[in-house]
Amino acid sequence: MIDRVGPEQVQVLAAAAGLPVSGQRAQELAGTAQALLDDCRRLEEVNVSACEAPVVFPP
Amino acid sequence: MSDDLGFLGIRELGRLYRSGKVSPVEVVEALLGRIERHEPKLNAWITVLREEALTEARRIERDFQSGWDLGPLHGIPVGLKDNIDTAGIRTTCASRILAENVPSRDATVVKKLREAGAIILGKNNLLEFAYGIVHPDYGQSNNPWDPGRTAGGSSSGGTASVAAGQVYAAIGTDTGGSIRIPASYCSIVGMKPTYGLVSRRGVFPLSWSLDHVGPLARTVEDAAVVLSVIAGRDPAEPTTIDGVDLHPEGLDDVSLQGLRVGVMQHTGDDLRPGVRKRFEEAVELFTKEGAAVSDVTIPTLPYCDQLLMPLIAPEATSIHEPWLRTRPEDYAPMTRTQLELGAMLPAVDFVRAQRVRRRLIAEFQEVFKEVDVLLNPTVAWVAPKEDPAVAGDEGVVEARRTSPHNITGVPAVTVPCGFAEDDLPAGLQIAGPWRADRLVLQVARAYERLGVWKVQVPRGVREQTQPA
Repeated sequence: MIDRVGPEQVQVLAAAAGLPVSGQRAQELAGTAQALLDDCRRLEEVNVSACEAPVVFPP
Repeated sequence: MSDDLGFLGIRELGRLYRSGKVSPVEVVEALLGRIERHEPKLNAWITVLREEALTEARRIERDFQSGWDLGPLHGIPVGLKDNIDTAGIRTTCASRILAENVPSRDATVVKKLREAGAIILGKNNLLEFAYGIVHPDYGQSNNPWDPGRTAGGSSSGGTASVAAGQVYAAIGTDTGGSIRIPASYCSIVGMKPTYGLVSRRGVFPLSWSLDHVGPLARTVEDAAVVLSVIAGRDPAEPTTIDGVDLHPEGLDDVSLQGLRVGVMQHTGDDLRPGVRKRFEEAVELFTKEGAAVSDVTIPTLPYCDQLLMPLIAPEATSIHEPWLRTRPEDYAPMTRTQLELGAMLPAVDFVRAQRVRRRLIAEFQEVFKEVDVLLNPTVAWVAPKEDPAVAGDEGVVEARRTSPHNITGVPAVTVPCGFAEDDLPAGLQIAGPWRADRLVLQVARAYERLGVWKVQVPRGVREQTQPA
């Protein structure tokens, strides 16, 4: 689980995906990436049961 | 011909064709002239197919003379969002990446329109790859009600061109509200059908599990006519469905009397007072007409604000990965940022988002046991100067009332409900259960019949819309 992302983590994640992200670019992206991860943490408040499988396509 | 001909309904124009009072050539020439007068003020088009449309109009004129009749869309000029493939015609997605892209075949939706005799007038502007941002190479499509503001995104050009009387309908795509948001801003009808009802084959994807294709038109009847032509199972597109009754006849058969109407309760105080007033008046009208109106609370609905990006971003990034690696500087800066974000999201968070989505779908299924349709304002505000980024705070609020229907896949339509802040249009959204597209359109038509809104020339292009 990733909770906090700074420019270093952004660069590592981008490199893992093969994306050319410079140090300065990583700095710019870090705030937006953190906001996205904060959204994901908020979704943990929804107490989904183990039976609720991921949706691939809507019904 | 009178310039007002450009604002007729599709069936009305069809009657004039069939009685020989008006020819498709006359109509296409007039609309092309109108586009010339409106551009570049609206910036609604990337490619106008002048010669192709005139050639097609001449052929269709001969069709009518010989009694050949393909139905209600025969000879009707339409626009296509430029992320929809057209054989031999540039399809750019309003991007530098695909600036020279010429597909070898038509998207299924284009094939269906051509088979129905529609005249493709051109390819409409959009936000880059339908991902919420204007690319500077193409610029913003402006709002016919106030050209100093956006027409809304991402189906911006098609919406502006329909509202301005340049075409009778346009085809848009909608991943979080991209048909309904601009339709609300420009005071036209925009329909996002049930997921899979319209084939996405040949439509450049943004997010496979959220993308929908649907009609933009000036009236509910026109939207219904177009939807009936473009819908249906496509053997080449596995997510498509069939068996949905979409016959555009009998749209007026539904009364609001006794209809169970749920008013979606959203959290937050984002709703602008003028939009709230128009919405409350609409709800009052439903009550006055005998509908059983009740408030509906959907427990997971407030989480849709956090749900959309974790669903879109990984899918979009997966689609764009090769270009993101080799040509990142060719994207608009914010498009690039949003695409790069998708690589930052752990897989487990993506799966969690899809499981929360399952919960939301289950809650919608329960709600539709209690009500026939759901109402809410389409957008909390009127058209802004520029389109907000999907990943930003304003982008989240802009899509707050439309994205739940993409996440669940239920059909939803926006209809004009009058003017709000700055005397600009607002929209009423009506949603129904999966596959109840016809009911949603019938209820929208019932509301439209109450006369809150009449089709008119938008004030921002009135001068350029008068006959020369």
